[in-house]
Amino acid sequence: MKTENLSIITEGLTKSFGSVKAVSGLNLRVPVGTRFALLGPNGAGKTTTVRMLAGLMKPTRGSASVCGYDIISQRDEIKAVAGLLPETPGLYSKLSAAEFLEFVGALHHLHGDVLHRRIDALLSILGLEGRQDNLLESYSSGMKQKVLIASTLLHEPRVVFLDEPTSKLDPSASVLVKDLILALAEETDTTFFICTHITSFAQDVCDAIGILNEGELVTVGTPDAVVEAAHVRSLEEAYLKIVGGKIDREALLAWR
Amino acid sequence: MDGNWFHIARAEFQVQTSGIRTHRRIVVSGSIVLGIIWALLIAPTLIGYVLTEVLEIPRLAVAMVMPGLMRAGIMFIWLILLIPSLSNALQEVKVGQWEILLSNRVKTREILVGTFVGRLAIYGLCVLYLAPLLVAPFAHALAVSSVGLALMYFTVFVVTVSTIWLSNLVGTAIQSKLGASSRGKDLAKALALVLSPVAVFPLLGLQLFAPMMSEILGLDVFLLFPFTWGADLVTQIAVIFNGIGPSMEGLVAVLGLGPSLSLLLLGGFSIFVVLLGLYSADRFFIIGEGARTESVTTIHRENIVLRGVRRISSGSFGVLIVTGLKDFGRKAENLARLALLMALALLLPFFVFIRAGEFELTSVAIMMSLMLGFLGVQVFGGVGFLESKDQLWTIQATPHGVQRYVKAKAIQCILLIVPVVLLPSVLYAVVLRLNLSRILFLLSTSFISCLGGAFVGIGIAAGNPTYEDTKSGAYITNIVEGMGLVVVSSMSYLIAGIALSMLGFNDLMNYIRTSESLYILAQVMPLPIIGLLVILIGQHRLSNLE
Repeated sequence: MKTENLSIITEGLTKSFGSVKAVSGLNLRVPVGTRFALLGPNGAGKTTTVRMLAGLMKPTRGSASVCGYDIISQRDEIKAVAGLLPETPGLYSKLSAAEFLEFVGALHHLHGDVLHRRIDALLSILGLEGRQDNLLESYSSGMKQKVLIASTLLHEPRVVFLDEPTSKLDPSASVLVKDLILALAEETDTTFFICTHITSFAQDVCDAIGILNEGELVTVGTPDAVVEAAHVRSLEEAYLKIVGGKIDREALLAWR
Repeated sequence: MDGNWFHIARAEFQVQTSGIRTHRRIVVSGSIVLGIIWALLIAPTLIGYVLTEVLEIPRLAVAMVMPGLMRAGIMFIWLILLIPSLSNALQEVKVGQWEILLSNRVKTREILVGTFVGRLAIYGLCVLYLAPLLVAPFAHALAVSSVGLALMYFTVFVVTVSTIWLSNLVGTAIQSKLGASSRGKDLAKALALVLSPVAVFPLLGLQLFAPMMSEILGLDVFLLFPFTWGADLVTQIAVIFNGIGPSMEGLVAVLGLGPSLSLLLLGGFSIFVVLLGLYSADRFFIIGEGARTESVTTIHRENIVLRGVRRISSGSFGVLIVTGLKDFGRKAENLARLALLMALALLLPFFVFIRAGEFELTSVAIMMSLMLGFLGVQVFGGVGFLESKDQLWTIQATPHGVQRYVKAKAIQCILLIVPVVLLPSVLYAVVLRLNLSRILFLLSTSFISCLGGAFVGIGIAAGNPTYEDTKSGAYITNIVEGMGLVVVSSMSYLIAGIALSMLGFNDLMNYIRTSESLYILAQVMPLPIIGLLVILIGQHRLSNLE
């Protein structure tokens, strides 16, 4: 595989916090325009991986590049071509949705008509056009998530890192986000790197999947290949078989 | 109440003692035993020894000042118990905790009683250790018997407990109303901020103007306050159980009330506030499902100042400044800080006015610069910098985001500080009858001092962000560091003067001293220079990778 067709490359990427190894020797190759899902239980190291790739965290060992830029020496170049949706919303409670998006756009050096046109369009697509002038403090968690998704896409990034994008969304909003990801990936060659717990979302949207457990990448491939390799019928079963976590009924009621 | 209050009290106690959670029982029970020994044996003996043997103060002299000092001491305890805990309650509206409690069918009254009992142990311990410092010297001077000493402590305890209850009651009542919406929570934080000055200033005023008011009212105005009843009762108990001779008759004439009346008033007040709390909770204020209906605020057209900023700085950086100003201006807490800053800056010219003739430009400029430096740190550093770590991720995820964000914050400060320093400077100019060039000079020195303080505050907050957490050790460290830097910068001229004199540059120092403007500038300029350095270091630290 030629490196110029690769959006994300990691080689032995490792991050430790004291004695705790959050990510251990991660080797990944994600081609341009791919929708890659990183699945894993809580604390598996998904968020840490995304933060390192987005240039927000320094790896303890190993190297990685995003769109050909090194994650340590070319952080600002990565930030210019990448968008990050954080796991929890870090919104300004006293700004409206339109104002917050204007703020994020300005951080990406956008302003004027171009910025305002994009804000209006994204808020309209996400169904927030009627609430765009309300302060964010009055938004529900799903609405806040939509605003954050808009802020991630505002500067037309070539790589989008989404950390649990649909965990707070209702089913119809989840479908909307799925369609948005599919349309952007197919029409604009945008690469999506998605951290999620939701196996059905990963199966519907992504063309490649990696399962991370206790900081190590235990399997990688297309959803069908992962299911086939695990000798099960669905991705959820494959996930449970690989990661563990299936408890029998007797154990579930043992606390009573 | 069916026992829920006990579980709440236990949880509150666990929160209060979380710092010693591994040895909670041993530390708390040990502290209580040690506190009792300290209060009844060690403190009276030790303080008595220091007073009579070391300082050699006559017993009668100590006894003479007792009524006044006791009133001042108990008033201090009252304020210390009432204001900080009320302020804390307002700072942290515990809506999340209420949801858990309410889902378990807990009544407001149970929350009130539970939080009160939970806090009682720690506050009680504080009183156990601190009260002897106030009571023991007088108990020793008057040779009060053990029964008398125990009664004196009990009176202080009753004053303390009723004050904690009152503070808890008012805090819960306000929280139940202001916890209703995010706007309310914001107002609660603002209220917490202005609470201390609002409560302390009238009491200070009372101290100053008490004789005049007493003349008008025909009675000692202090007799209207519960802390006076408690203080007077402690004094009266000391006299009743004294072993050296003074009688009660003279004391009643001095204090205005007899012991039975003091006891009646204090007891009546304590019972009244307890009953008031128990009766009003679940009637006049309820922490309930209906209370927290979210209100929606819709923003309208930008004001002329923001439009002006956009016109001057039309690019993306202008957008950062404008959104920062909007975020700052919409938080009642920030506006309260700014208003407080302005009020304190205005107090100085008033002081200068009433002490006319004692001040000239040099002392006013230096005094004002120091104060505005402190206020700059307080208002613009700390909580106003970043709301959350996730907000920081958003900013860090953009190219040169941190540098541009900090730069935009610095420019916002400039825009906010101008009106704040303008008014007090003009007032000074009027009071001191300054000409235009001197007005501009005073305005400039005030401005750069406040800006220097703001830069110090922002720089420290950027280097060690504490977000919205005002209770963390990091927040306190930041504020202390900021204040320390303002003090150090104000002493720079003195330090430089000593160093230059030692190096033989006396002429330079003499030259600076002969010019009023140069002298003021030499005192004022280090702060903005230090501020610039601190903000650059803070910006660098904030953009560092973890």
